[in-house]
Amino acid sequence: MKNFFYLSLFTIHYSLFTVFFGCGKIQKQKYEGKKVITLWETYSNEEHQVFLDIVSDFEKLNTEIKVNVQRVPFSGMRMKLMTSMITHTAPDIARVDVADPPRLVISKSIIDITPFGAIELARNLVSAAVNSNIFEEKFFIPGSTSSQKHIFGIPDQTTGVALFYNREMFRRAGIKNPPENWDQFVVIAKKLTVDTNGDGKIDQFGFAMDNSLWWSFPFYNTFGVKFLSDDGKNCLLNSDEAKKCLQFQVDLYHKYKVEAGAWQAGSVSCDQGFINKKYAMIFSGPWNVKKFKDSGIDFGIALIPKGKAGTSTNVGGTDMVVLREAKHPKECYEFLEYLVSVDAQKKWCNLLGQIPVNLKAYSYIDTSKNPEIKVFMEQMKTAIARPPVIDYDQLEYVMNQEIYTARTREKTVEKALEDAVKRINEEILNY
Amino acid sequence: MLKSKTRETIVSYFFLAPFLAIFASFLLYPIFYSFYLSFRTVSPTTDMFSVFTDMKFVGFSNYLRLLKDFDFWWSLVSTGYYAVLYIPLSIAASLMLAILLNNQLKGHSLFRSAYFLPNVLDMFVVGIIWLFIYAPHYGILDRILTQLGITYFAEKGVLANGKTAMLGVVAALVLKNAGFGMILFLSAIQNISVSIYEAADIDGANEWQKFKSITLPLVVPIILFLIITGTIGALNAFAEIYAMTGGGPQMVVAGKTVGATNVSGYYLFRQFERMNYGDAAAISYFLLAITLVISYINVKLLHRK
Repeated sequence: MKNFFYLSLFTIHYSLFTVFFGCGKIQKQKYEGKKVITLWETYSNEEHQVFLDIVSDFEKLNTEIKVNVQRVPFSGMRMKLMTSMITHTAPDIARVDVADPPRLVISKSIIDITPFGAIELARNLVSAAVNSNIFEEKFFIPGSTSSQKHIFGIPDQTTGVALFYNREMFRRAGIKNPPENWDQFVVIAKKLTVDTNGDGKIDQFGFAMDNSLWWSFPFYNTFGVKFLSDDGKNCLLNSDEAKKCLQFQVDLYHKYKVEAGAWQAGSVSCDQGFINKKYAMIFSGPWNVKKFKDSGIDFGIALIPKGKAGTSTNVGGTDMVVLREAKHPKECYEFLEYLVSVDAQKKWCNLLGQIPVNLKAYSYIDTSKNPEIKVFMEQMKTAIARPPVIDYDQLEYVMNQEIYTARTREKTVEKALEDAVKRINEEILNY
Repeated sequence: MLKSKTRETIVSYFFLAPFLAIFASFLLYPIFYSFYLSFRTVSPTTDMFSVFTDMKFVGFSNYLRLLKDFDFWWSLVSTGYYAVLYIPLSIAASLMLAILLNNQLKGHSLFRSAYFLPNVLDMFVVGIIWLFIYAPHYGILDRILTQLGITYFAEKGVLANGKTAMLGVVAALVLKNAGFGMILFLSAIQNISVSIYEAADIDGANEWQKFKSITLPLVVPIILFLIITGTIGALNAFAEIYAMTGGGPQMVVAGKTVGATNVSGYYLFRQFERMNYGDAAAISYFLLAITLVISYINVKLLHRK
């Protein structure tokens, strides 16, 4: 009896253990006879549904291929991907941030898709988006001096920010049009910064800005600031243009007093303040259009105000890359080719109100349904890609720190930029 | 036939085996592997599919670089500041709650549960709630203080000010965790014999004297336990910083830009996030050494007691 008791307990114990570790094989048997591509994506709920539609369309056209889509949280993708490579459990295709390809290329983690005809395909894609995937041989082959270009990924989504403004607040302040340049911007922002309830405290601000470098690119780009030397070895942020640009950001808060201080740790974020009708103007992108519409605010979208270098914006978005251990690289490329095809882009952009990555799809976008896309498409024409550095995250980190100290006036603009240049040169460009 | 003791031992090991396998895979192996990593470095060109073979051996250079890294030393200073604020405040809050709730008043169970409840909430949830409380212009705290004529937090709130950010994080954490200490103190206080208090009453002792001479000395083991766990907690602090400040706000110390709440746990995370696995492993072993020294001192103090 005692032995039976022990045996029963032991069996239950090990059965649970085996079930816990052994249920991974069931999935594989389902797709026998097909070439299975595992794809990790980080889309939002809305985007995910449309993406599944596109995948389904692709599978109907390519019956021998099954695309196994798996969702990963956007913020955790990089860490998960790195871990999966170390443990040889990486997917075949991954959706990565536009800042990621340099490191993935140099560590030979993703494959060169040039032999499949990607350069030809890239000619039809938005250059600011596809450029983050194109590398010269000398970048990834040690000792090479060749400038021969190779392509390592396909942009699946491209974004950039524009100026969002609250029409209702503009009407109340008697302002007809959004600002076209930074001088007009300051005048308008002053009119929109008001104490609405007369308690002596400002409770509506003309503008709110984020602290990070990426969100500050529209300033730098319109002021004509060049970040890196042509050989990529030196940071050029101690230029006069850069100083003027950062000084302008500081002045918006301290001198003109039109900025809400949304860049400070723990403040009400730009999006939240815009929805709550506390901030009259913010920078934002296509991904927020639906959210703002759903919140019921009456808003418009305009080009980023012009500076010395005209209007411009940042470039965000994501790329699809094929991992080195992909079992069916050719089929992976076929899927990526389909993803940026006119048909797929038409569906993607019309349903989600996003900017197409395929230039040929521009004419198929129904701007009457999503009039705001027009502004973004116009804005993207002058967008400038972020500096191509291997450790972009650290560049962002260093700049965020130094921009913050300038904005809080703990450092002068000159000192903050000099320190940023020194740190970027030492910690990132020549590490 | 096996002896019954031997058979029992074998059976015990069979039952322990799944746990030991998990323990060895997910705890023991990473501990040793981290030590191995701390002498190696991952460069941007390191093949991520073959990290084991592609990482370069660099001897003690990760440790030596740490010694020269201002940000690392600053993170230790921040951690010390965090610990100095957190440990006494959390002990005081827990003890105060335990004393207040050590009675049979109607609803005392409800209050005990209510004060313990934040302890089971996720730190990120608590962090977001406090972000709204501390926010400048629109935060509840600023609104209340402005009504009272205090405008110090109007522009920067609590978390954007280098002088108050750490205090803000610690205050949120103390209020979240005080319930746990309260339970420990309550059980210790309830184990004190009533006759001791009765003897003190006969001697004419007042409430303060009874607290100082009876309650406090008899809950010292709990205090020491909370000091040890608080110290280890401070060296591992991460979630509260990640949720509330991201290591900021930035401030200038000795001419260098540093994060006011950039504690060592967060600094370690940054290195790991950048895939500087060698540096991250070296930091973790450095912190382990500090933890061992502090724990040793604490154990000695406990032993003396």
